[in-house]
This record gives sequence, C-alpha cells and structure tokens, in this order.
Amino acid sequence: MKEEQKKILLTSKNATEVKRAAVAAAASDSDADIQMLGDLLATLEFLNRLDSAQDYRDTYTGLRLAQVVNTLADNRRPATDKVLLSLIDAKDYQANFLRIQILIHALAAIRPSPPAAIIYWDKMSVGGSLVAFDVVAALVENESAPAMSLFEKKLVDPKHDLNLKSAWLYQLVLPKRNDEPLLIACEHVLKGSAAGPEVQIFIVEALFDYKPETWYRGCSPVKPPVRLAATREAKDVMVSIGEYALANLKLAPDLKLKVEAALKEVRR
Amino acid sequence: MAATKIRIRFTGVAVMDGVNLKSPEDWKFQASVKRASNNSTTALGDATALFEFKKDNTYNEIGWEASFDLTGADSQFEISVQGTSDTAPPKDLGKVKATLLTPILHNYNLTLTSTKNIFVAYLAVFMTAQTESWTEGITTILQNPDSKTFNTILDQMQAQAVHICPVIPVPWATGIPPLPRGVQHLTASPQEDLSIMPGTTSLNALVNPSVIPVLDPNDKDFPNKWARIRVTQFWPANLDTDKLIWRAATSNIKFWSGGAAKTEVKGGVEVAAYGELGGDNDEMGQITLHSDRDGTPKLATFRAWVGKPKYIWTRANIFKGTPPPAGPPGPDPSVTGDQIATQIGYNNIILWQAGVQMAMDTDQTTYGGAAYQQPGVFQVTTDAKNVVNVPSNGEMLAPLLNARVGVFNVAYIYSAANFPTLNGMATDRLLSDPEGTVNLDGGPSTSWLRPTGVFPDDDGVKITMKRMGPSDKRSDAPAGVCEAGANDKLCGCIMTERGALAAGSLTLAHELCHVLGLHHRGSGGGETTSSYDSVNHQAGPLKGRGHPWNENLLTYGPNTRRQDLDLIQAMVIRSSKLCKSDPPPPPPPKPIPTAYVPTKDDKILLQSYLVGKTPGLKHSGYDLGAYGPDGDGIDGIIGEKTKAAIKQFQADHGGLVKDGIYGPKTRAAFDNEINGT
Repeated sequence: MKEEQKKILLTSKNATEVKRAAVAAAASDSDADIQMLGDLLATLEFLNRLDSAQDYRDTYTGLRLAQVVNTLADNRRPATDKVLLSLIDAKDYQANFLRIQILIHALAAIRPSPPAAIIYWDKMSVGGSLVAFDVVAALVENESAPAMSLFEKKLVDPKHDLNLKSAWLYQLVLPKRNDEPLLIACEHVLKGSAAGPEVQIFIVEALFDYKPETWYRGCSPVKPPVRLAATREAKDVMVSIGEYALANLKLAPDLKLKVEAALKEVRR
Repeated sequence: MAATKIRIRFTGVAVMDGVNLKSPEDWKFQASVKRASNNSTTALGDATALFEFKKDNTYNEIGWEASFDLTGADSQFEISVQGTSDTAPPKDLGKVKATLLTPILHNYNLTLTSTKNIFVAYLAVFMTAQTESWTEGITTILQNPDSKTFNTILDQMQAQAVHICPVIPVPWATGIPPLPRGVQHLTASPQEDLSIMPGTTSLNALVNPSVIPVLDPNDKDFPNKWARIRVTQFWPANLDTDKLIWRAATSNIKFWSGGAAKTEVKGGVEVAAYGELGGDNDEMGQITLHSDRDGTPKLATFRAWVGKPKYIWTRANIFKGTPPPAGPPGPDPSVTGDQIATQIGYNNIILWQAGVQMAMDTDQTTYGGAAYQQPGVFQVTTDAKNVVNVPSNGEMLAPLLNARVGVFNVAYIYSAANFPTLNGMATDRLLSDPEGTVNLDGGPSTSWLRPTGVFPDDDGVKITMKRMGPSDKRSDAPAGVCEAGANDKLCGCIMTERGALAAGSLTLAHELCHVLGLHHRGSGGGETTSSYDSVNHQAGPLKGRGHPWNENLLTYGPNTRRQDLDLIQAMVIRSSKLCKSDPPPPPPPKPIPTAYVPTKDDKILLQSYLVGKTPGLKHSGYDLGAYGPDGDGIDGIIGEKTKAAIKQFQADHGGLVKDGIYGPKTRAAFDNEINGT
C-alpha cells in the first residue's frame, strides 16, 4: 500500500476518500494491506470516519462500509476470510445493527461456511431476532452443507413465527428453487418429523406455486426461475418432493394441480 | 406535404471514439447519390480532396451537396460515402450507405458509422419544396446493415407546431425510447424541464394536468390551485407567442386573466384555467390553441377532465419498536410529524394533476395503545419485528395497527427485509373498489398516449387499462389494534424511514395510487415487455403512440422523472371510494385550561406562609399589613400588600411572570418550595 493511501486510511476525515482507500485495500492482493484494513474495521474511530451518524439513518446497503466489506467478500483469499471472521468478535463493529447486517450477508461468500460463521449466524438468528431474515438470506445464498444444515434447523425452530418462515420460503427460497442443495434441505424438512403442517405447505408452495399478488407487497416481487433450466439431479429432487407432497400432505386443490403440473413438466 | 425537391448534403466526418491513430492521417471520401428511377449516380464534391484527421473525435466539415427534383417515378435515393486513407498502402476506412424511400416527408439528420467502425459520417436531407397536401407517415430509411446509425427528424415542415405535454421524455438506460410520432424534440425551442423540485409548495407546480379543478376564484389559495396549461415546445423558433389565442372549447372551462373570468385569452404560452360544473360528476373539457394568422389551422387541442377537488383523508402512524426478545436491538424510525406534513405537501403536487390531495385526518381515536401527536399523526409502539427488517408478506401487521376505516393509513417503519432499499409498499386497498379494465376513448389528450398538439390532430386511440384488483381479505387482527372491521376495509401503505425522509421522494403518491387502483405502468425498468397495466406503447394498435412509461408516476425502477398521471389514471383514482368530496372536518378545539381560582382557605394559607406563621418558605416574613382578625395581614383577601409579596416571590423564582396573581404556575412554585421538590 502506498504511503499516501495508508495516511488516508489512518487519518483522513474525508469519508469518500477513506472509502476509496479502504475499497482499494479490500481488493488488494497484499495480505498485509487486508489485515491492516481488518484492524481498522474493528475500531469505532475508523468506522465513524467512514460513515457519519447521518449515514447510519440509511439502510445497511447505503453505508460506505457495505462497499468495503462486500469488496472484502468478493476478494476470495484466506486473508479476507480471516478479516471477515475477525469482525464477529470485534466489539465496536458489533455494536451497531446495520453493521451486523452487513457482516451477516458478507459471510455468505465463504464456502463452505466455517464453524465460526455458523455459530455467529445461529446466535444472530435465535427466535425473535430482527436479523433472522438476513441470516436465512445468507444461508440460502451460501448453500454449502453446513449452511443448509443450519437452514433446516431454523425452518423447524418453533421459536420463529410462521409468518417469518413463509417470508423465508416465498422471498428467499422461491427465486432459487432450482438449486439442488436448497431442494435437498427442503426435502429433509418436509419429510422430517419436526416441521409442522403449515411449514410443509409453505415449502410445497414455494417450490411449486407462485402467487405474487398474494405473497408479496411492494413493487418488486421476486420471480421464480424457469423450472426446465434445473439440472437433472435437481429435477429428481423436485420429483421426490412433489410425489411425497401429493401422497402425504393435505394440499388445497389448486396447489395439488400446480404440483402435478410441475411434475409433468420436469419428467418430460 | 411530401417533398417535390430535396437537397442532400454530406455535412462532415468525425473519427470514431476510441480509434487510435498513431500519427495524423489524410483521408479522402468518395460520396455519391444513386437515383433508382433512372439508374444515375451523382457524385458529391471532390473525391481527391484530402482532410487531415489527428486523433479520435477529430471532426472535419465537408459540406458537399446536390439537389434533386422529384418526379412520380422516383422511388429511392441511395447515398453512400466510401472513406480511404492517403497512406501507403491506402487503408480502407469503410463505407456508409443510407437509402431513402419516397415519399420524403421530413428533413433528416443522418449519422452513420462506417462499416469498419473508423469514421462517422454526417448526412442531411432537406425538403426544399413540397406538395400542399398532407401525407400520413414518415419516410422509410434503409441503412447499411453493417453499421450503427442514429437518425433524427431534423424538423418538420408544418408552418407552426406546438406541444402541450405534461413532462419531457426521459431517455432509457438502454438508449433512446421509441417516442411516439410527433413527440420528437422540436429542436427549434428548448424543451423545458418540467420536473418538480424538492421544496416546491404550490399545488399547481406541474403544468398540463389531467384534471382542471372546479374552483372558486375567491378562494385565497386560487393561484396555487388553478390548472396551468402551457405550451411546452413549439416550432419554429420565431413563433410569435404573443399571437397565440387560447379558447375554452367547452363551457365547463374558464380562464382567469387580468383578474376576471374569460373564455378566450390572447397571447402567452401559458393560461390559468379552472372549472365550472353544474353537478358533481366529472366532465371532459377541451381547450384549443390557435394562431391569429389568417388561414392558420388550430394548433392544438388540450383535453382534460373537469372535476371538483377530492380529498384522501390520511392518518400517519410513526412506529417505535419494543426491544426484541433476542438478537441485536434495532433502530426506530426518526420520522417526525413535520416531516410527514412536508412529504404529503410535496406528493400532493403530483396528486393535484388528478384534482386529488391528501389531507390529514382529524379523528383522534386511537387503538391498541397508540398515542395521538398532532392532527393525523400518531405514535404506535409495537414489537420491533413490525418496525425493523420487516418481511414484505401479504399479512404485514404494521398497516393494521391504529388503522381507521375509510382513510388512507400510512405506517412509517424503519426498514423492509429482502428489499432494504425499498421506500414503500402498498399493502391494502378497498375490497369494494372495482377491478378489471377501464376504457377511455381517445381524442386529443393531455396524455402522451396522444399528446396534444401532435399533428395531425385527429382522433386518438381507444385506451384500455387494467385496474388493480382488491387485496385479499386479511386474517383477523389481534383484538383492539385497529377499528372494528378494518380487516376487510383497510386502505394503507407502508413507508420506510429511507423513503419517508428522502428529499423529492414521490413514493407516497405512488403507493397511494396503487391503493386507489392503479397498476404499475411499464414493466419495472425493463422496456421490452408488456406494461403491467396493459397500456403498452410498443405493441398492437398503440404501437408508436403510447406513453413512454419512464415519465409516469406508476413506473418503477431507475427513472428520474416519474411524475405524470394521465387521463385514464385520473379517472380511476377519482372513482375510488377512498376519494372524498370534502376535506376532513376541523380538529376539535383544544380544551381551554381551567384557570386556577384559589378559595378563601387557599388565600388564608398562602398569607400564613408569606408572613411566616406557617413555616415552609425559604423567604417569608412579608409585611401584609395589619389586616385580619389577628392584625397580622391574614384576611383571605389578596389586596395590594399581598400582591406585592406575591410579586416578590415571583421575582425570586425564575420563569414566573411578576404580575402578583396567584395563578396555577405560582401556586405550583409555592407547592414545590413547601414540599421541597
């Protein structure tokens, strides 16, 4: 890192300038630069130079910090993983809700998810937590085996209310419902004994149905992928889930038709 | 008016962006026009002339021309330019070619890139003589398939033209939108930026609305409410706007000019219009624009609804979250009642195009423990899960909390999950409002569907628009959180902190229009698929005539001037049962605080403290004279001596008015001192 850039990171009060230097360090191939940035991200003094109190009135995606941390997440190196994981225990970093959200999402870049990330996600998504949705979004994004295992655990956790679980399925799972790891996780939950009948129906709906007018408010409903674009292996899991649902669940007539139609489509 | 004589000009050449010339080069061009009718070729200019080009973007004026008289036998003219470098060996720079198919109906600027992507040639076609009769259509231009081209209609051959449009076209992210014929920029006059600026307060800040409101000229706010009908572009540049004549073509429209109502106004590019109706129902009205030149046809017809102002009674709930049972605590929205009032004022400028405005509901009834703050504004304390990172499910609870039936309930939360950048969400609309499709026969319209003043000013097209369906009936709400029966009669939306505080945000009006029955116009930033409300300017009979949806309030995506509401949208908005004819009643008067009137016993006790007979005051021993049965001044009457003592007490205690009156504040100060608080 050039001296000038280092000086900016350490002392500048110009937030834009600090962000540019931090993003450059985050994208660097120098482990030393990345570690230096990591040390700074753990200090309130640096975080406050990056984003003002006024900036923190935006959502987490509006913070300069988000660009820095996301750049770290995109720069796949052991050094960046180490920095991201170190923020889990950084007291000053963890003292703000928006910063926690940023980290929860950024950790999804590390595959397979290391135990430290899984433990953090689990802790952050206990029943009633406001960031449980972010955690499940990160798990669904990550799709590695440990993440899917935690996803299954969350889906059957009775401490999370049903409304939230339906949101996970309609908003997070539906746009990725061709992905084999997610399908397998859903199959486990569906066929396991811990999921209640409501969650089972939500799963079937999210995988086979699409009701944007009913399921979503707001102007940007998520959209499902084209089912035929799924891999053969994913289609096999879909068939397994669909057959199980038809044979074992009390499906509403229109949902039953949707499942049958989907099975016909993927068996072609 | 088809051309009978044309002049073709090879205007100039530029080096294309990014072409790296290692040293200056001399280029030459072989330009010609091939006429199909007699298979002749006319050379333009001197093919041996050299032009020096140094680096990319270097431009050289060339200016070679040829004129042609057109006959009935002419079917096409092929213009071509071959470029060659004067280097050793010569380098082929590529070729451009454009073919004009008759009839030729406009002047054109043609910008073509060479087949080798090395130079850009600028060509122009001028109509130097034309027929008297009008021919519908535009000239067909075939371009060489290997090069990119961008052609514009340079100008139009009508003697005068005006546009009366609500907004200006916004370029798409992917390029230039396929504008309806006739809406191309009239380059002779600048096109005004008609977007409203943050901080604007006049209701009629936007020109050319879809509703001309019925108003009383004696209304003190009349100048901020009348409809401003304005020429937004004109041609030619020297059009004498002092000679324009505005006429109210229907009896339900009047102009306000020179402090009086008129049906005709001479001169100017803008006129103030208002409506007069015999009944309550909206009517169609028309204004025509003429020139006073003899024989000049009507320049434009402006069409709008004439209707009485309508009101959306609005209740705003600012949410505060109780700490979550687990995980990190979340923030609360920091929206204030004043900020809400500002946002509503700004968004009302948009809604006033439809003769509608939001007005704060004055009902003060609260539900579920909500607290009244100011007219129409309440604070609701609820689980943080209803405030922060709220999933946008169909059963969102926030709009239900402290909701009232028959009004527009806006819930201000902190943020939405999944879409953290979301500004707002329409959540509930009246189940009893209609759905399906609505139709409006065309004719000249304020809408871009048939922009007023676009010639030929013939009948417009029939527009069919899909109306938003009602929300599903909600599940039963927890007891007491909202007005009884609100579950299936609720109208509401959610605004996030981000959307509520953003300067210039029109999200509130956008969401309200959903609640009133409008679908999205366009397809969410994608310009290639059908519009959600079926008003599609790209397909079927509307091709080339539709509304560029980026200017419409009901579009969404990365657009900058989404502010227009057209005629058919205004019709739907105004038909909702949520639109009321009257503003909310005035709020109940504030209770007048009952003045403290001390009893005789109070006065005796007071005097006892003042003289020190009853201990408790830091400073006592005041001389109240020799009144009273014991001659110590304690007589239960506040006379001059007692008043002077009270004044001294008041002087010793900051914040009290030194008036000698034993009122509630002075009494409270006495009590505090005696009680040691």
